Amino acid sequence: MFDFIRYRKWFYLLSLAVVAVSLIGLFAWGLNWGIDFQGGSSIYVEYEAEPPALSELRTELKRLDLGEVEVRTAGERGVMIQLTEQLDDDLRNKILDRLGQAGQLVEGSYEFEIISAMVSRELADKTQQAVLVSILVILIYVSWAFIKINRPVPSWQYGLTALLALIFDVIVMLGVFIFLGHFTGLEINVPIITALLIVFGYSINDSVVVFDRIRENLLKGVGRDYPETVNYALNQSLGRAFKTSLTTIIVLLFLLFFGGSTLYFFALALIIGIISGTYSSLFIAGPLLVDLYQWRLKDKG
Amino acid sequence: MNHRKNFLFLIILLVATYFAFAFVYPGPWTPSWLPERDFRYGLDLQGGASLIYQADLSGLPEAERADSLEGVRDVIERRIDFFGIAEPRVAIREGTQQLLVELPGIKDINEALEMIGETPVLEFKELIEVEVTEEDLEEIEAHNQAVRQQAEEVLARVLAGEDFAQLAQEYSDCPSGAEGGELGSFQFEDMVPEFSEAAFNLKEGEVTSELVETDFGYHIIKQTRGEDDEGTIEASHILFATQQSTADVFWQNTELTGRHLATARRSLDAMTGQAIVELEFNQEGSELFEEVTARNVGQPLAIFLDGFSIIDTTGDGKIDESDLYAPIVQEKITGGKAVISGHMSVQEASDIASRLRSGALPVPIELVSQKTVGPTLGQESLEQSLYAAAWGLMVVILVMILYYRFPGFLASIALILFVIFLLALFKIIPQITLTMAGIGGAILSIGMAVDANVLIFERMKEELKEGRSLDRSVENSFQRAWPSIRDGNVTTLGVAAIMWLFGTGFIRGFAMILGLGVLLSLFSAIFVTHLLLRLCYGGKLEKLKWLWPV
Repeated sequence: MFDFIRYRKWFYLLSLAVVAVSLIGLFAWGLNWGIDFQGGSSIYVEYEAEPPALSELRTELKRLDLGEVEVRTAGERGVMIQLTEQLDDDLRNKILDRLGQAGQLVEGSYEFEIISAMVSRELADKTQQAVLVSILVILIYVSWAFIKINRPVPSWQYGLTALLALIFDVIVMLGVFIFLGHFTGLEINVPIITALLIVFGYSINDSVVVFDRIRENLLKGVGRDYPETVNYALNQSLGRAFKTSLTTIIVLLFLLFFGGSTLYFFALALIIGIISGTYSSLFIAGPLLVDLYQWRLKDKG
Repeated sequence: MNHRKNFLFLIILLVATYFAFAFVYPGPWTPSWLPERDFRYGLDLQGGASLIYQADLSGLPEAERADSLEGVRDVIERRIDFFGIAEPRVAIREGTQQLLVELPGIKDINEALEMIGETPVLEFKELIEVEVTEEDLEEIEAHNQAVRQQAEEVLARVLAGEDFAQLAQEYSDCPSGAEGGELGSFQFEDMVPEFSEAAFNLKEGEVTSELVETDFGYHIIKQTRGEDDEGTIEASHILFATQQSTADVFWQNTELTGRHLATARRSLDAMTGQAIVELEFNQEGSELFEEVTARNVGQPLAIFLDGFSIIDTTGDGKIDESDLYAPIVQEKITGGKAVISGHMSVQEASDIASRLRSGALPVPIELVSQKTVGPTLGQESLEQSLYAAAWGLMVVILVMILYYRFPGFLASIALILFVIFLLALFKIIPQITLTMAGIGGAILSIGMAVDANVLIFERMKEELKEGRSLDRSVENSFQRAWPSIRDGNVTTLGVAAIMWLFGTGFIRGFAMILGLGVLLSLFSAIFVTHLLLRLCYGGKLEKLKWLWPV
């Protein structure tokens, strides 16, 4: 049996370090919003063989005077080009010509997208709404779900620790995408936000399962005191947490490696979120309950 | 007794699975009465273009905006009809002044963009007769003379015994010439009187001894089958088409256009209670309308939108050259207000009014978002993701069996059933269109589907470890794991519901399929696995200890 409670401070430290690094990245570089949320154009093409060097493509495209252009690889043979301005057909064809000169393109394997500032603003607003409402609903749900367990810590504290775990997961995911954004030009788009929302649910789900065990152990009288009850519950949840995350991550890994470029970063975001969600429910949400309990004891004492 | 009930459930489940499988994956095993359905693929998977247009309705009063937007939608719908795309979609995006246009499998996106982007053109056309000049008449006369001469020559050859069919093939101006002039069977009334007169007076196998003249030209007619009880005969003919000298009529634009129309609305006639359309012209339009109606009293005035009839008048569901909507002008109309009455339904009147408005108001539309996916890219993504899903599924099954042995194997069967039923639902539920996002949701739900089984089996391990019998352990574990399963799935479903409510496009597609997957996975993980485990109670399998997790 692993003593979560005894070593919890070390894991807090680890968690804080991860959060700190993410926050530094956030303040230093900020989030790299994609054209979904900023407006602009993107062109995706696939080459018959390995795509030409990105630097070569960049110099080619520079001659077209496009303003700020982002060029990166996507998948094995794909190249993604993103611009902040809205392309017209003429310019798009010119870009395609240049790309075609650099290497043999696969016919029919392309994708163009143009999003105006208005549509992207609207999308950003809607997404913001979705995120806020999700948080609200989760808060209401968690406080309702744990209203039944108010011993020896009040039920809102279960909700609070679950929420802290959730915030941790979000920061970790954002952190990873800030770094990827800075070093590979990856942008935050709708699929990534979708993954974020799913991790909301997943993370809460993980915490709920742990708390359920605590509730049951309390009723059965497992453990000499509250910390031990919690530790027991964490150990009981460990197997389930590991196996569930594992099965989900397995399918996502296949999606990541074989699923093509569209869902690549979606799968990546989910994998990170699921690992983080599993970690945070075991090493943050559960152990924090013990701290809250001990503070309470001290206050009373 | 209980055991019997379980077997009954098992049989029902097996039958349902068989039909679901046969439905999803049709083959020789599919019963013929099972309806055939295809998966509906989104634009990102089948290729095509998705466009969003913003309509500028700022110049319109609030009350007319919704109607005008619908008018614009109708216009765009008509325009894309000409591209012959299977299942195009034009929809107003809820709560916005935007129109979503989806063109699956479109080849020339630029042409489509040009055509859709034009402002609708409303035209009022009057019937014009073109006078025939003396010169024209002479020319026609000369031409017809030459035709007659040739006809005489061919008639002589027919009468001399040459092959009728061959000559028809060579000379006939009628499409029937290709079949040797055969017209098939017809009644007296089916043909113009001059023609029938001649044809019915012949004997079977006989050919007219003189040319028969009709409005079409000169005919040589051969009766090929005599009159039967129903009064039909069969005949062949060779047609030598002549030019007609009667005056030509065609629809010509009046000076009146959509610019002159102030508004149009559906209303009900106060006297008869019938649906009518009320038109109101602006200052300039009123004067023009007065002139146009003055010179067309008793004549039709046709209304065209984008060069075609404003509504479908032939009732074939589409608007093309064969449709014509032309109310008759009853009298000269002054004051710029007119009413179109006649036998029309409320719906028709609404359609006419809204289309009149859409043409009346040059509502500018602007392309604000465009996504085009190449035809092979989607196919490729689909194959890749299915490949990923299949491998993911296999490895998950392997893991489940390694961890939980026989129960893991049963859970795997449940998981496979889950996949079959999920695919069947994709085909059955018409709202489901498979997109990359949806496939992502489905794949994620495979991973999540086993969560409930993992929760249950972890409990079962504990119960078995404590030395309980198999049936007690199983029943306890299902009962004890339930609160966790419920709470966990509620959060996922809740988030999916929120995503569906607030999201658009990708998020919505994902949320819908994830939600469906989660619900179905509860069924498979709890009901199916439980049923399969129950069937093992007291059997030989229970005694093989190595089959069960420890």
